[in-house]
Amino acid sequence: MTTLAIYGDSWADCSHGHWQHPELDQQGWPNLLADRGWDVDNYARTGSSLHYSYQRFLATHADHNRVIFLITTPGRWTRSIEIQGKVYTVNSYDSADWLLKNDIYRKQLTSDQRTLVSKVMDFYLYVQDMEFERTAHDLMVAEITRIRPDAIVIPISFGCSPGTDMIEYQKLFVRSVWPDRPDLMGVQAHRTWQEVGLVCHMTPEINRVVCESMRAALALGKWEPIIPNRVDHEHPADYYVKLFDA
Amino acid sequence: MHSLGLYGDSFVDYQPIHSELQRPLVESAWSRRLEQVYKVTNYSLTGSSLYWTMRHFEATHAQHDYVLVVVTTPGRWPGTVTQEGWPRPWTLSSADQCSQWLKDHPNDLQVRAVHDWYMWAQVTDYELYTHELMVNRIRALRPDAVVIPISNHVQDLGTSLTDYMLVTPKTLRPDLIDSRLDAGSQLAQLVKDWEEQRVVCHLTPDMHDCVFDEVTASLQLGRWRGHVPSTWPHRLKWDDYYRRR
Repeated sequence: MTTLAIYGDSWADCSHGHWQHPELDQQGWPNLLADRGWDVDNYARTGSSLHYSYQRFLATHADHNRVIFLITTPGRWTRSIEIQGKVYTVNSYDSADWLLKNDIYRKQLTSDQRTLVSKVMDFYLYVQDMEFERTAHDLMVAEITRIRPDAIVIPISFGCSPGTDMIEYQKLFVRSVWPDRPDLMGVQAHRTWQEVGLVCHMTPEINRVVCESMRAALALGKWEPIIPNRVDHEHPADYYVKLFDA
Repeated sequence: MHSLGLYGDSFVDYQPIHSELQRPLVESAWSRRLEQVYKVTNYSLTGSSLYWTMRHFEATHAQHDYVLVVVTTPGRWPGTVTQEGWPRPWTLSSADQCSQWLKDHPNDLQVRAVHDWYMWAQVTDYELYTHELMVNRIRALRPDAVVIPISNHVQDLGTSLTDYMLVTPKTLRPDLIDSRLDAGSQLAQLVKDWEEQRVVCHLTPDMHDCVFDEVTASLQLGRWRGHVPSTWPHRLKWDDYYRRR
């Protein structure tokens, strides 16, 4: 059986987007690829930085015949924090702010962890040089394709790397379930809706489309997906997400 | 005369003068003496990061027949600040540097955050990986570049300028060197107790003779060949070059 390694963030982490419905894990496109005969090792982790995935890639890619690498956004702080056995990433100012403000977790953070998270907030606010982060990001992407020219490299959003990005599948979701809400096209999803029944930020129906796109890319040796105009969904929109303005 | 672009940090940048004892030594600096052989443009900046160096390298290397890049240590903040009365960018290459700055600028929130980043939030692995990728980028852009490390953080770059710096105590005060330690630790131990006095670009004038010869030969060769002598003749005594802190 051909082995396939998948690297990336929440867009490839099947445990993301449905904390009340763990059974949905199986609907994530990496697991669907496994159902279609691929021997998948999924190294993706929600919220992780490109550097995290790059390190996992360096350590493991040689064990696999094929590689799919989802390129996350530049500038994510590359460490994580373990809080009572659970790993949290602090990949933006907002996520650091959330960790500090959230009552449940505030009680669980140690004094050192609270200080660290506040220093990471200051890092995002005052220290981070986005030109440097962008350069480091581009150098890592170039190195990934140099080491594995056969890797299927996919940006999660505009500017992460060349090619069709995963946000196009989010737009497909909007077109399919809210044909009368063009204002939701291309929004920042985490500011617009809470994910309830999504996997890898997408509905199970769209995960099936992504799975087919991935299979085509693996057959073709490059990422050139053909994205349909709409996909039939079994449920209304509010089954999958809860709009903050609803 | 061929043109030469020089890139790097304080090992190349002879401009900052910290004491009157240093001023006459500037002419002995290897980077200054290259101006007699090449039409030199010196892009170096004391305390700068490799990212700062790489940006200037990318923008200007094509203008030069020869290029020489001194690769600084990983993990320096890529930004700079503006110091009143100082015409060049001011760098903050360590938490100590930030602390010094904060003595005069206690309300500088950015520098406070940079200090805390060094102390709390910097991710060493990330810094090392990106450092190595930047070195590779420089070498890919100009395979003929003479690339000289100041430390041994990146493998395969050859002998470092720290190795040359340590020749002085090895020659004049071998009792100060713990041979069980690596070069970086030896240097850290040394600078803890001793401060530079008649030294420019971290090297004595005598060691500049040595490095100048190595650099000119390497530029002809098209790669850094760096052979570090175990000892080197010095005109003065240890206490003339360094003073106890």
